[in-house]
Amino acid sequence: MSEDLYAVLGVSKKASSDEIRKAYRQLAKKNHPDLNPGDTAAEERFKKISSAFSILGDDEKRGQYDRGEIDASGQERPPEGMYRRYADAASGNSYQSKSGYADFADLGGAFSDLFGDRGRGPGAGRMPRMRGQDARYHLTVDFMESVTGAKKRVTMPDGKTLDISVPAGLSDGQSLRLKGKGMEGLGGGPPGDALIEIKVTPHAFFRREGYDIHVDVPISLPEAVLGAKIKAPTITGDVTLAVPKNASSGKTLRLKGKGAPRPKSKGQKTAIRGDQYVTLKIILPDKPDSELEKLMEEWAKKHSYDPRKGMKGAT
Amino acid sequence: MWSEAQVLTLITDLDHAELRVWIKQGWVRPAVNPASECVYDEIDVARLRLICQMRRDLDIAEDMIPTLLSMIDQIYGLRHELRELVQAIDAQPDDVRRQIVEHIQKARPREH
Repeated sequence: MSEDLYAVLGVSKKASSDEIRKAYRQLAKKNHPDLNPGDTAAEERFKKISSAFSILGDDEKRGQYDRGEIDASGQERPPEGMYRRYADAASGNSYQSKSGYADFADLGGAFSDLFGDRGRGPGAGRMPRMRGQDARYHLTVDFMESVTGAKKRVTMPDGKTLDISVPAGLSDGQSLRLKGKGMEGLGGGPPGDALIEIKVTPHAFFRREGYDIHVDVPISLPEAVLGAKIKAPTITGDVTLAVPKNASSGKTLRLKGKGAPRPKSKGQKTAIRGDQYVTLKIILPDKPDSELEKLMEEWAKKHSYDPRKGMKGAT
Repeated sequence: MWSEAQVLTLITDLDHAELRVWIKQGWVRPAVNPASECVYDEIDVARLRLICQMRRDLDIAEDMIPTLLSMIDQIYGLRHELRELVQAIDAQPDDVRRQIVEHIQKARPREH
C-alpha cells in the first residue's frame, strides 16, 4: 500500500527539510497516542505521520523515495505511546492526578461519596494552589522488624531525610502513607504524601500467614515416641513446648498468642497477637545405626501398622 | 526495576544532569531504596521516554512540560475514575443500568 507521504504530512514535494520537520511536529503534537489515550484514530494518524517523517525527514531516504527506490511501507519506528500502556493500567498509576472536582461539589452526595475529599482538595478556590506530589519509597525490612516494628531513616531525592516508624505486624507488599511527608505544595498548597512500599525479607524458619506464625520444629525419634519437653523458638524468644507421646511428623501444636501483633483498634490497650503454629518434624540420627535397626526389626515383627491406609483407592 | 545507570543506558538521548533536573522539578518521581538511591519502575522509564520525545521529537519548550504533564496526569486520573464508574454501573441490575443510561441521554443535547 503506498500513500503519498507528502500528503500525509500536508507539505508540497518541494518543501524544505525545515518545513517537513515543522509539519511533522505540528501533526505529531496533535496526534501523539500518549496525549490522546483511547483515540485509536489519532493513534493510526500518528503511525502514518511518524513513518512518513522517518522517510521524508531523512535526506537520503527522501531522495530514494522521490526516485521511487523505496515506498511508503515497511518503515518501522521504535514503539511510541509506551507511556500510555502503564499510565492507563486498570489499577491506576502513581502519577495520575486525583484533583479537579472542586466545581462538582454542588452535584451533591454521590460525588463526595465516590471520590472522597478530592472535591475539596487541590484546585479548590481560585488561587493556583497545588498539592505537592506524592513521593514513593521502597523500604526493605527483615522479617523480625516487620513483626516487632522498626524505626527506619530514608533520604529523599532532594536530600531531605525522613524517619519512618514501621508499625509492628506489617506484611510484604503493604504500603504506608505518611500524610504531608511528600513534595512541597505550590502556591501555599499542602504537601503531598510519602508512600512507602514495604518489602519483607523472608526468615530462615519463621513463616507468616496473616497474624499467625508458622514454624517447623525438628524432634528426635525418642522425643516423638516418648513425648518430651523441648525448647521451641517464637518471635519473642524460646518457650518450652510439651511434645505429646507418639507424635508423628506433621503434627501441629498451637502456641496461643505467640504470633504477630495485630494493629490496635481504638480504645484497645494492648495489641492482640496471632498464634504460633509449630509443626513437628521427626529427624532420624545423622548416620544409620545398627542398634536402632535391630530394635526396629524386632519391633516390626510384632507390631505392623499401615501409615498409608488412608491413601488406598485414591487413584 | 532499574537503577539510574541502567535508565541512562536504556534512554540514550538522556544524560545524567538532565535527569537530575527533571527529578528535582518533580516531572518524574522514582522511588527511593534504603540506600537512598533512585529506583525506576516501568512507568518511570516510559514517562522519561515520553518527556524526551516531547522535548526532542516534538520540540516542545521546556516551560511547557509541567503544564502538559499536569494535563496528562489529569487525563489518566479521569480515565481511571471513569473506568471505575463504568464498571460500577456495569455491575448494577438491568433496570438500574437502563435508568442511568436514560438519564444521561436525557441530559444530552439532541443531535440534529
